[in-house]
Parts: sequence; C-alpha cells; structure tokens
Amino acid sequence: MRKKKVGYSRRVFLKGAFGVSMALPFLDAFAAREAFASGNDQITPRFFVAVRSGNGVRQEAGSEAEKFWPMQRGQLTAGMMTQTDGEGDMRSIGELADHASKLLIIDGTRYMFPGNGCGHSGGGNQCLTGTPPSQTPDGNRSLATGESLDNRIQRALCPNDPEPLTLAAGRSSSYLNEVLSYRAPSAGSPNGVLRAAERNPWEAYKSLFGTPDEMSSSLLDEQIASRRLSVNDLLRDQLTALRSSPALSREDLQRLDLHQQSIRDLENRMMDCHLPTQRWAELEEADVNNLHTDPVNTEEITYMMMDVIALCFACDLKRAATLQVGNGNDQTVYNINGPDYPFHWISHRIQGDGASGSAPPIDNAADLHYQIDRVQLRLFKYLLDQLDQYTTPTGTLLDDSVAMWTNDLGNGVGHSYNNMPYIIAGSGGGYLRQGVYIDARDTGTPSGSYVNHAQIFNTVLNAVGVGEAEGAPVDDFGHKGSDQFEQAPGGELGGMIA
Amino acid sequence: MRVTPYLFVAILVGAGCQGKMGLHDPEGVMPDPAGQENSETSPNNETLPADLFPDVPCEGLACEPAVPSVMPRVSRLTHHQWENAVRDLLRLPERVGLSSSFLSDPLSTSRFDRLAANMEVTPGLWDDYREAAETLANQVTTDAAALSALEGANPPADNDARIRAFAENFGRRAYRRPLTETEVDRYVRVMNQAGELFGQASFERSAELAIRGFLQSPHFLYRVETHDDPGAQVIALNGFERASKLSFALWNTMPDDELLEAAERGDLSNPDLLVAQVRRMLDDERASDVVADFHAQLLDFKHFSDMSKAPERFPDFNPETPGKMKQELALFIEDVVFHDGGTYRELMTARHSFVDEELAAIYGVTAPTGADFGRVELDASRPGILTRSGFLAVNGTAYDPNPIHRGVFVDRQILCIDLPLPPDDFSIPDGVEGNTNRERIENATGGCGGGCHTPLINPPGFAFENYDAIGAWRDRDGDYDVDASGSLFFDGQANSWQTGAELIGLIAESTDAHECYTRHWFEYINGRSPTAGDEPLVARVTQASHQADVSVKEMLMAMVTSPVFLQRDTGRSE
Repeated sequence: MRKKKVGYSRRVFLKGAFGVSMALPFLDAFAAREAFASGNDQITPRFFVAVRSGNGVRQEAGSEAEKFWPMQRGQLTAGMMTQTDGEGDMRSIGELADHASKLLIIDGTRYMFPGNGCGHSGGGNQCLTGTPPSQTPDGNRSLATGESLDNRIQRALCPNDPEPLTLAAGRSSSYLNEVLSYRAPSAGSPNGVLRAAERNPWEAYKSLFGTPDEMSSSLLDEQIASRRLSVNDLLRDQLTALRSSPALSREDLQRLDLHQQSIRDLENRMMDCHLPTQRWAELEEADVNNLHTDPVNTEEITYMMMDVIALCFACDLKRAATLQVGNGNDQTVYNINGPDYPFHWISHRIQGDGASGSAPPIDNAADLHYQIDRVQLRLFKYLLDQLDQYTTPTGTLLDDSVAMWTNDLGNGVGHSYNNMPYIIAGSGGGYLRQGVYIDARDTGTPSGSYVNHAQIFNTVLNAVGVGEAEGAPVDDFGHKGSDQFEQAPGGELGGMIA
Repeated sequence: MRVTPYLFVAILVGAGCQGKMGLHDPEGVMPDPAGQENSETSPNNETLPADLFPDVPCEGLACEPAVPSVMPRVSRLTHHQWENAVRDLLRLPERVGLSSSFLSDPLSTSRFDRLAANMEVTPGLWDDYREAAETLANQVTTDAAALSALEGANPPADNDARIRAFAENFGRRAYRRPLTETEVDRYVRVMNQAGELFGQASFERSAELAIRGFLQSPHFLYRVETHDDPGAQVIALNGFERASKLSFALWNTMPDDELLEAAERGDLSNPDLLVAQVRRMLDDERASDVVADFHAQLLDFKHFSDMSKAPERFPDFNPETPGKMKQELALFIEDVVFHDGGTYRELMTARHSFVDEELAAIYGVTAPTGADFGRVELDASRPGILTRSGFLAVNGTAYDPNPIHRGVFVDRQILCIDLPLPPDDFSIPDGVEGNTNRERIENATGGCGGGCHTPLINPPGFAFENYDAIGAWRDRDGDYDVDASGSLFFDGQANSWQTGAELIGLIAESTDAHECYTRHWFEYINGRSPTAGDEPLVARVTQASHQADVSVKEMLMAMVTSPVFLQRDTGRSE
C-alpha cells in the first residue's frame, strides 16, 4: 500500500476555474478530513468521479471499423491521439488529447456476468459494482447485487457522511432511468439499493454549498445557519425518539438511519465555497427555466454538473461522485451532424428501440454513433479541464483525483459486455500510471481472455485511499461468489500502478 | 354455508392476544385522545366490517380468511402525496408544485410509485424538503390571512399560550395525531428562539420556525405506525393510524378534520362508523385523485412524452398530442368510475370518449363544438381504454403499431401473465422481410424468441393491428388486408378472436383480467404486492367484480375495510 504524504499548509488556496483566482479560506484539507473522520493524518484528500455514457461505443465490431480506442498502445501523446485514419477520422479518444499526459486508458476488460433480460440494465448493474444482476427483479428492473465503487469510497473515507454525490444529466425515462450508484444490500436482501440521482444542477449546487448571496452579511449568514441548526436539532431529536421504537423492523430502521444521516447543518465551509457569480447565476437561471427537464439541454446540464463536482472536490465536501449522462438506454437526441434520431436508435442502427422488428435502418448509423462518442468525450474533457484548473501546492486537483469515463455497454448493436471502455485521468495522488494506454490482458491473466473489470476498481480503491482507511488493500471488490456465479478473479491490475 | 372471511380471521388471529390501541410514546406520556385507555379494543375482540358482498356466495379461496401481514412501520409519502398534504395542511387553494423539483425516487419493481422499501430520504431529498419547508413557512407566516387560517378563530391573547396552542393544533394536523406533551414542549422551545434567530421576537417568526419543523418532521413525511402490543402477534392499527392510512390510500392526502375527529372519537374501530367514513371518502371528490393517479401509472402516462412519430406518416402528430391523449384517457376513466356505472367491465368496453378536434380526427368522428374536450360516441371498434389513442400510440413505433409492446402490455398488465424474459443476447435479425407489419414481426420473432412470442406475446399484439401507430383505424397494411385474428390461453382455456374488439370482449368477461385489475389496485392501495395471506381478499374482490359487476369504488371499499388493511402482523414469532 502506497501512501502519499504531502505537506499541506493549514490554509489551502486553490486557483479556480474560469480564469479567476479563487481563494477558498475555509478549504482546509485537514479540518475537512477531521470533520469526516476519515482516519489517517497527513494524507492528501483524494477523490473519485465516474462519468458514464450508455449504448456502447463505436469500437470495432463485425463489419464496423475501429473508431474509439487510440491507434496503438503504450505511451500517449497529443500527437498520436489526434492522428487520423484512412477515412480521415480521428479516434474518439483524441478529444482528450489535451490531457494525454494524465490519462490511463485500459482495454481488455469485460463484465463477468450475463444480463438478466435487458442488456442495458444488466450493464448498468455491473458498471460500477462488479456484481451480477439480480435474479429478481429482472429485465429492465434488474438491480446490482452489491454496492458501487462510489459508495464504497465515500463511506470508507467519510464514515460520517456516507452518501456520495449522485448526479445525472439529461433524459429521464420510465423504462430505465438511473443505473449507476448503489448502496450495499439491506439486511436480508440480496440486492443493492439503487440510488436516485439529482438532475437539476442548481438543486445539487444549493444542497452542497448553500444559496450564494452577494449581499449577505456574516451576521445574516450566521442567523440562517442558526435557524437551520435549531430546526435540525429538533428533527434529530424526533428521529432519535422514533428510531428507539421497539416496533420498528430492521428495514424501517435502515430507512430512518439514512434519513438522519441526510440532515445537514449549514457550515461556513460550505457557504464560502462558490462558483464565480456569473456561473452560479447561470445555474440558477437554468433552474428557473427548467432546462434540466428538456433532454435537448443535456450537454449544457452536463457542463453545469461538472462544475458542481469540481467545486465539491475543491472544497472537500464529498470524496466520490458519479454523473450519468442520459437515461439507461440513452434516448437523447445529441447535437451532431446528422438526423435527429435518439441515440438508442442509432446504437441499434435502426429507427426504433431494437424490439420493433420492422423499423427501417438508419443510414450512416455507425458514423453517427462515432460522432456521439466524440460528444461524450468532449463533455468528459470539460470535467478534466475544471479539475485541472484548481491548483494545489503539489499540482492540481486532477492529480489528486481519479476521474473515470466509462460506458455500460461495450458496443451498442450487440449489447456486448466485452472490451469495456475505461478512461482514467488523474493519478490519485501519484498511485496510478499516467500517459499510457494499456491492455488489461497483458497484466496477469491468461493471454487472450478478457479481464474482470472489477480489478480496475480494486486498483482505484487503493489509489484513492480506501485500503489505507480500512487497514488493508482492497483486492476483492465486487461479487463474492454465489450458487449461480463463482467469484471472478480479483486483485489489482498491476499495469495501472505507477 | 359461507363463512364471512373477516369475522373468521378476527377470531383466528386474536387467540391469546391482549392489548389496547394507542400511539407509541417513548416518554410514556402520550395522552389517549379519546380517553379509551381501558377500552377493550384488542384485535381478538375487534369486530371488523362484515363482508360487503353478501349477495355473492363465496367460492374457493375467496371463502378463506385473509391474514394481515408484516408491513413497514414507516412509509414515506410519495411526492404526489406530499403535494396534496402540504396543500391541505397549510390550507392553500392549490398544490404548490414544489415537488416537481424534488429528487425522484429510483424506478422500482412495482408499476406504482409507492413501495415503502424503495422510498428513502437521501441527502438530496432531505435538502429538497428543507428548502420547501423554509419557503412555505415564510410564505404562510408573512401573510396574515394565511396564518390566521392555520391558527383558527380566537387564539389566546397571551403570547406563550398562543405559541403553545399553535404547536398543539397545527401539530395535530401535521402529525395526523395529537402530539405528546414532550413533543409540544420541544416545538415550543424552538419557537421561543425566534428573537435570537430572526433578530425579532414575534408570534409570526415563532410560527415560521414551527412550520419549518413540522414540514420536515418524520411524523409528517412518513405515515408512522408504531402503535404496538408487545404481547401480540397481530394487532389493530389505532384510530389515527387508520385515519392516515385511509386518507392516503383513498385521497392521496392527509385526513380532513372530520376524519381526524372520527379517529379521536374511536369511530374507526366501529365497523359501521368505519364503513360510513370510507363511503364518505369515496364519494368525496378527493377520491378522483387516487383513481386518476392509479390509472395514469397503470397506463404509464410518464412514458407518453417519449413518443415520437414519423412526420411523413403522421403529419398532424405534434408535441402537444401525447398530453391530449393522456387527457382523453383521464376524462374517460373519471367519467366511467364516478359518473357512469363505475365497473371494470365498463372501463374495458364503454364506447364513448372525450376528444378535441385533433383526437376526433384520429377516431374519424365529428369534433365536438368548442375548443375544449367534449364527449363523443364511438363505434363498435372502440371498446374501452385499450382502443383509445393513448394506449395504442404509446405502444406504437414511429411508423407502425408495435405488436410486441401491445402484446406484452395485455399479457402483463391486463391478464397478469408471467412472461419469461427474452434471452439476454437476443437481437432482432437484420433485414427482416414480410408484406405486412404482422408478417415482419412473425418472421423476426419466429426464431429463438418464438417460444414466447408465438403463443403469448404476438397474438394479443396482433389483435390491435387495425389501429395504426397513433391509434387511427386501418383496414389495410400497405397493399394487404390487416389480419387481427389470434388465440391466447387465459382463464384456463384457449380463447380465439377475429378482431381487437372481440379480444377485449373476452377480456372484459375474463376472471384472470378482473383478478389482474384487483391485484394492481391492491398493490397501489397497500404499497406492496399481495402475499399469501392477502390472496383470499384478492380472490373475494375479484369474484365480486367478475360475477356481480361491483363498481371500482366498491372494490376499494372492500380492500380498505379488510383485516389486511386495518391490522398488522407484528413480525414476532409466537
């Protein structure tokens, strides 16, 4: 287990995004860490964020040529990432060329378990959990059977604040909605608890940082905080009394425990963290206009969510976050050079949701899919840009983070779980290799067989400090074995480690 | 001779039980609201309402006693219920609409939005509740008339007494039961901090703090049922628990003053008075909220906005159309349940509807005069909800009817046929050919999926091939006649038809369909699927609907006056 010990000053000033030097006087890494009781002293806070897209990527499949992965493995440079192929196309991943030196791209992994009646749902179930989909429920309602990576990280690093930041941008759907973040199964249940995602950036912002008010005085701030504290204490008393009822079942208690943990007081540390006025005003205006409810604004809402995530990490208010772009079988109409078809149709290459049978084909669908992949990675680049603009004494916030982009299908047409796309930026404070594209199959498994994707997660967990917090390196995240499925190979992925 | 199920169960489950009704009170100072501390209201003695269908001889499982289940003690309000309850608690003229920005609950295994296990208060939702509470508390306490409506007539002149009276009276409605002394004291303590926390001491600011607290209280946000009898296996819900359960089940909102007073008097333990209250509630216009919401979720109204239709085929379809289709169905259902005979058969077979000009064109009828929706009579090809444009269009592709979706809906939601799942790696073969939509689907699904599609899914889907992707009638699919004929196994036999209307006629007379509808209502009313102990109730209500054509309102009445609704298993092993 590696430890990164960085001599932070008592007061940390970050250079913020938007070209504005942002002093965050209450951003005290040690105070924040102590507030969340994470454990070891003198460890730089590390952060994890996963951004997920759906419907698979345009990688080589059948007659369709490769358009996603870099052209060769090994060291990544901006030049090689932006090379074009014989058709004049840059690989989608070239969108991230500005961050070439901080990327770790991994192919050669797969999800180890089959779906249970719905490829999208089964993919979402495994995406951050490494567990098989539930036997019951099944189909598009199937659930993961274990907790997700963000959940494990947040609860391990911040036991007093175990709920990670869970966000989604764009379309919601009554067919398949959130797929990403899971609490561990409740007592007596085999299934993880799917976490709802916040879809309104302004709501997410206010929840984390409070409502910014340029005119407020410190006296007013104090009164606002005191009023909330007074009511919160009342609520805590009520929940404590209610939870003492012997009539409650374990499930009742678990729900009330979560409720009690969710009560938050307004702290100066939150109230002094804000985006520049112009930007938070844009988030507020987006709320007034309900932009988040119209899928046409998916990309703009994604940017806003990413600003929230970056500031949240800069102020050390959460250690783990997820951002799901689009609904489960993403039906967003993306802004590309082509006809206005939902992404899900494009991923199936027909004018329908795949079960229609008689739907006409979509001309050039594979190319449209490639264009959407590039949109998705441009979105991810924005997050990396933001994280990289907050400077710390040793580098940038991105360096202290593990920012992961993935998709819950390998490709769209076949709903494949093979060769899952994993792009990681940031080293978790030096733990992970950077500037390299690796094949997971080269690092410790029989040649040619895809590697359990949860091995990536073991490595990430140790990179962000979960192993340290729990007292031993993590090597078995994901499914632990059952009557139906054996435990998949564990351990870290050696090729990822610096 | 028929045994009345409810009386039978009361005898069965109560053996050896002792107990009394009363709220759980950790401090032990809970006043008994009706002064009934010594009353004999333990479940073993409780007389529950008699069977509501005495003219229908019970058969089979319907003659067995229903047995109460272990149920959650805390059930969070749905966002829809929160809206209604806030409106009624604060005595506002309409819903405030703030829940539209609340964190949505994740999709659950239920078709309905109220599985208790799925409804949590997460940090995001807690913050939504908090913000709404602060906004509303400020709103109603800076409006003298609004605050006065909450305080009632002739509040005490003394400020301390006034504060206490407010905590007691408003609290009783927020908690849907009287507060204990300890609880009142705690609110009063917060209210007395107004001067310090707002920089000005006034009754209004005290009330603002109290309302903030009440609107965020777990006793407001959940239906709390902690009444217990440590010695008993099965207990009765106490009066206030029953009042809340009834009002959220039948109105989707908090009890009104009359229901709370009935609970306080102990009326909800008296079979006749309980039935009278339920009858009053079902005749109240608030019941239409529940009927509308139930069918909106059953018919997946949320999914309607996902519809897209190819403009070259359906040039009149526009972004407003799905909303109109919802409105048509809602008006039809409201009319059938509350103004017509109100039976399940009529929902499936009634041939009138409510349309505007655009929807009239889909049905090929003359539009009602005036801009708004008006009643029209449709022909024999348009029986009930399954031939309305909304169901047909949401289960259509951009171009064609979608027999797979229509068939799966009929199987799962109308007949409760348990369909196996498609193989995980299944995908529609490329280049499927056929002269008609039906042929193409047959060819596409005839391979590895044929085991399910051919006997179960495709036939009820093909039955609607005469209705195009927006629900308009068609005799021809391209150059070929439409073939809607088919056969499906339900009610223990093969059933054949030539047209969609014929299939619907079979469904309207099907025991399986009546049972399926009953099961859906059970799940909606109780926030859980039926367990073995609930099956006799499901069977009895099904029987009444199928054999005696009882109304939907009577079906609901039977459900909420049964022991599975009014009592609970404590979960202790005897």
